[in-house]
Amino acid sequence: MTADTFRKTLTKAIRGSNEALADIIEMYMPLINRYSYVDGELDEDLRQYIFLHIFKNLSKFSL
Amino acid sequence: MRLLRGNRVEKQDRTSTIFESRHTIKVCLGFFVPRALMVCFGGKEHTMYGKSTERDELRGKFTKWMEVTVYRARLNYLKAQRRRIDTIPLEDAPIEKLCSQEGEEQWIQKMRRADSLDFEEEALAAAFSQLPAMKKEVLTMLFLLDMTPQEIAGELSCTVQYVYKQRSLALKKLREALKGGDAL
Repeated sequence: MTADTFRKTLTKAIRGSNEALADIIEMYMPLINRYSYVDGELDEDLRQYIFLHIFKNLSKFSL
Repeated sequence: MRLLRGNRVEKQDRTSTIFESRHTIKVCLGFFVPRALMVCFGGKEHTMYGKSTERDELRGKFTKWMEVTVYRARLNYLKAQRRRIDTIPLEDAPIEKLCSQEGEEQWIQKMRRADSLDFEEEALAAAFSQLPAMKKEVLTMLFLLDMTPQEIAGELSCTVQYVYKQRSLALKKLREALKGGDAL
C-alpha cells in the first residue's frame, strides 16, 4: 500500500467506513495478535477487547 | 604536591576536552551527513539494494499510535481480569458444596458477620447493599476486619491508591444515598 492510498484508507476509517477500518485492522493484525497472547496462549477475549479499544479510540487519532 | 596535583588536574582536563570534542564530531557527522545525503538524493531513503522508498511519516505515526493503543488495551484488560471476582451460575455449582455441612456453617458465620455490621439505620444497610461488590469488599475489609489499605491492596492484587479511591467513592455513594453527610 502506497503512502497516498494509506492516507486515504485511514481518513475513511476515521470517518467511519467499515471497509477501510477492516483494511487497517488487517494490516495491523500481526501487531494485534502479538499483544493478544497471555501465558503463551492466544486469548480471544483479549483480542476482541483490543479491537473494541481501537474502534473506540480511532477517531481520536489526528491526521 | 600542590603543583603535581595541579598538573594532574590539567592533564585530566585536557584529555576530557579531547574526548568531548571527538564525541561532538561523531555526533555532528551522524546527524548532518545522512541528512545531507537525503537532500542530495531528493528526500528519498536509499536502501542497500538500490531501491528508493519514500518516507511515509503518517504510517510511522499511526503505527506508533497503534502500538501504544494496543498495549494500553492489553494492560486494561489484564487489570480488569485480575480484579474480577470469579462467579459461576447456581446451576453449575457442585451440589456437594451446596449441601455440605461445612458450607452451611460457613454461610451461618457469614450471616453472623453481616449482622455484626450493626447498622444504625436501615437506610444505610440498604445503601450498603446497593454498592458494587468491590466497594463492599473494600469497606468491609477496612472497617470490619480492620485491615490496612496496604493489606487490602495485597489481598485484592491492586494498588493502595486504588483502595483509597474505592473507599472514597463508596463513602460518597453512601452519603448520596442517605441524602446528606450527617449519617457518616
